[in-house]
Amino acid sequence: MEMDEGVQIFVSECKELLEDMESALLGCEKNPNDPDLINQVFRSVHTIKGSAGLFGFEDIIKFTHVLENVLDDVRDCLIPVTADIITVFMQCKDQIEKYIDALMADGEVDEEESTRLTELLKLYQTGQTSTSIAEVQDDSSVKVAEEESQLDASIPQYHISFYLGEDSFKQGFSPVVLMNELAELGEIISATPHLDKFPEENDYLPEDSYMGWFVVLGSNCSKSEIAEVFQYLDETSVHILPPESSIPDYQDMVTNLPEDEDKAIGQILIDVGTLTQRELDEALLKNRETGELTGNILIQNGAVQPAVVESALIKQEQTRQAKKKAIDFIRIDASKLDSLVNLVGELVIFGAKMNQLTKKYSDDELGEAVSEITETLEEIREVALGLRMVQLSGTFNKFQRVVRDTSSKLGKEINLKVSGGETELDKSVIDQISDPLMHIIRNAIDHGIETPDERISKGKVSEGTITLNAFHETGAICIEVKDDGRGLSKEKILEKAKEKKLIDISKNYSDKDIWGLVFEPGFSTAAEVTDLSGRGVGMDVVKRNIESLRGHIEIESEYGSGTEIKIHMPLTLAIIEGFHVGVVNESFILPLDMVVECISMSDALNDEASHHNYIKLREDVLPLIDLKSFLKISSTSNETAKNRNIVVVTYSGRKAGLIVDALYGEIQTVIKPLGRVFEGAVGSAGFTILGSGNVALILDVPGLIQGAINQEHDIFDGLSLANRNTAESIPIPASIE
Amino acid sequence: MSESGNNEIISISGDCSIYEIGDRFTEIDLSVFSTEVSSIEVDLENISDFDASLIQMLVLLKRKATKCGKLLRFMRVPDSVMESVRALYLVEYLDM
Repeated sequence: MEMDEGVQIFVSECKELLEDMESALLGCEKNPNDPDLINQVFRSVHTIKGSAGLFGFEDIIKFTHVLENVLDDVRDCLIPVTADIITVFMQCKDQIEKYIDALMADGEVDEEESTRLTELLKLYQTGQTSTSIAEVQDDSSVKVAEEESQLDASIPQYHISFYLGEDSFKQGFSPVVLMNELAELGEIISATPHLDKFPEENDYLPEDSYMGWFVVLGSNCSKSEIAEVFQYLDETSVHILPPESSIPDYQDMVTNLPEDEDKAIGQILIDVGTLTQRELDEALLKNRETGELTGNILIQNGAVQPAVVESALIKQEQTRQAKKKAIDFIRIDASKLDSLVNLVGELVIFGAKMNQLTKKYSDDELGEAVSEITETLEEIREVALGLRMVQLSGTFNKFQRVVRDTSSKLGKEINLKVSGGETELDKSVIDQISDPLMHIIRNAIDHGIETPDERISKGKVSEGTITLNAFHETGAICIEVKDDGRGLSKEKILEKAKEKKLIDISKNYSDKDIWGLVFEPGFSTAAEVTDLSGRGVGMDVVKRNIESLRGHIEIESEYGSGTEIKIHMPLTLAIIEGFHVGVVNESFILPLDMVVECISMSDALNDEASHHNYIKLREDVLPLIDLKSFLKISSTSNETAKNRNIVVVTYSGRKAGLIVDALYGEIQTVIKPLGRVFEGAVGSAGFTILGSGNVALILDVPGLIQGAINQEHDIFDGLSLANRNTAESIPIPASIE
Repeated sequence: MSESGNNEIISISGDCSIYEIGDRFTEIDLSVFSTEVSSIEVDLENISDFDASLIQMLVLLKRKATKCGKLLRFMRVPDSVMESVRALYLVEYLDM
């Protein structure tokens, strides 16, 4: 079904609101007394209900209406925020999501679940006992338990202080009438006389009035209605402090004001009824006289509570930001961006072709024009790729819920610490990294972190921590998942590997080799021993997925203290700055940001390299890979390039030298996938079309470095992992010319 | 005003509205607060008319007594006065 554009916007907005709702609910769990969080949940549901109303999605309206009512009661402190109710709200969020998904897929929603949740919500609303709620939660059947007395709604309390005017008595003003009027507006909870204005009896004029009162009034009336009672008194002698218990209400009222107008703070406060026009006028007058901020004056005068002013300030800022946002952002279909990036890619290829032709015809004017075009093209490329950059925070936040749900199911206490969520990554990379990351985190929860009892017996704090961090590194992004759980046992991994015949028993293995075994296919099974249980389950799939995105995964662990998994991902899958090299007649591209330097092969170096697979470069041993033999490129003639070169490449702190014949320089490279035939080919990261129309393989530097290091190991240690022969695993497409 | 044992008695009577309250105030001999007596009784029985200015004056007397360390009690308080005192939440303060 072709979805109406309006509905599409509704769906994507709801998704965002539901994400906000979920993160607020998770926050509520940690800070149940934070009114902002429950307000955020309320606002999300309220907005979804309102938008659903525009389209007439009755099911969504009906469901969110009940939820909204309960949330409103929670906001009014009539229903306490408990872990139980948060779980129900979470389930409701999931249910709304199902409604939204059904709109997209034209599907059906489990109405029984909606009924169950609605009944459950109604039970909360009528203040049922926790047992009756538990019954509904447990067996999904609605049992209306005996109604318990409703929770007493506490009446909002106004704190009013007033003094009679000096001439009040003479003017026939009666404080008795005033008090009676106040009592009519609510309940006078207490009233204490002010006696501080009484003069000594010698100065006492019995016709003048000196009295005042401090009244606590329980009332549902607005401040203006109450202020009317005092209309005949001097405004400066009356202070009405709005109900303390409803600061969150005022804050919420402030937040819920429409954002159509950029209003002054005072106007915002008047709109929500926490301030009277008179109080504002006074404050504004003082503001003009002293230059002090209106908000501060209002607080000093006791007209409003600081928290409410704070909210009004936030609202003011939000309104301004919202206006700005409306100008700054437009929603774009991701597929439109994709086709833009593809077109830019094509443009880059044609640009390269044009460059080559210009060189051929060596026309200065043409050359100049082409170089200008090339420059602009580079900028367009940067901008186009930037459009698809998305922050990781959205993906990271999803894991909070996973950790919450899975850990409570397993009876574990786990805190997920997230950092680096602001790190940006190409949308397509983010979409594809989500599943492998989820797998790793589930593993950490399920098998890494111990139960609270187990942790305490090991001298750890009962709550386990999983840290999720992301940061940029050269041309790539690194995502770390760290846990402070049991860690992996090398002995057990080796034992298992021997059992599975993955290793040669007679050889010694480095730590890295051992951890690497976890990623071997079929390494672990569901019936693993606890110390490494599950760590290998599906890890080969994770590794394969990440490598298919030109990424790279590594694992480190300390038995008893935890495990750390690092994923290195390229920033983009579309276009990169490449370095064009040649081996025999073949062209290859290396990602430019991984190229450190190029060294011309002197005779001495040539000699050194021909004896070992390494050279000594400024006191460091640099493992070498001769691409010609490594990639098994056969040359038809016996020619050997006279001036061979070493290209030093780096990746996650490791270096290797690649021996090539020709250096052609920098080139903008549009990455094209290799296609199914070459899927999983190690060492290649796709191909590109050169300006000449020829095809060049993009080399997978991490894979090559690993190959070089393995080779180095073979030489120095005489060690080699079974099943590993990188050199043979890179096929060269026959079509390369 | 009369003295009865260790008590001083102040009588307030007649019209005690805003128009007359000035006269009523001058009629009160405030010197009793400076005497040796430990308690003062204020007799309100014969008040005919009053408004809040009377109540304020009662507050003044109570305040003065407290300052001087004397016990002040209101006697024979008419219901109408009591009603106003109640309405103004002064029962406790005036100890009525």
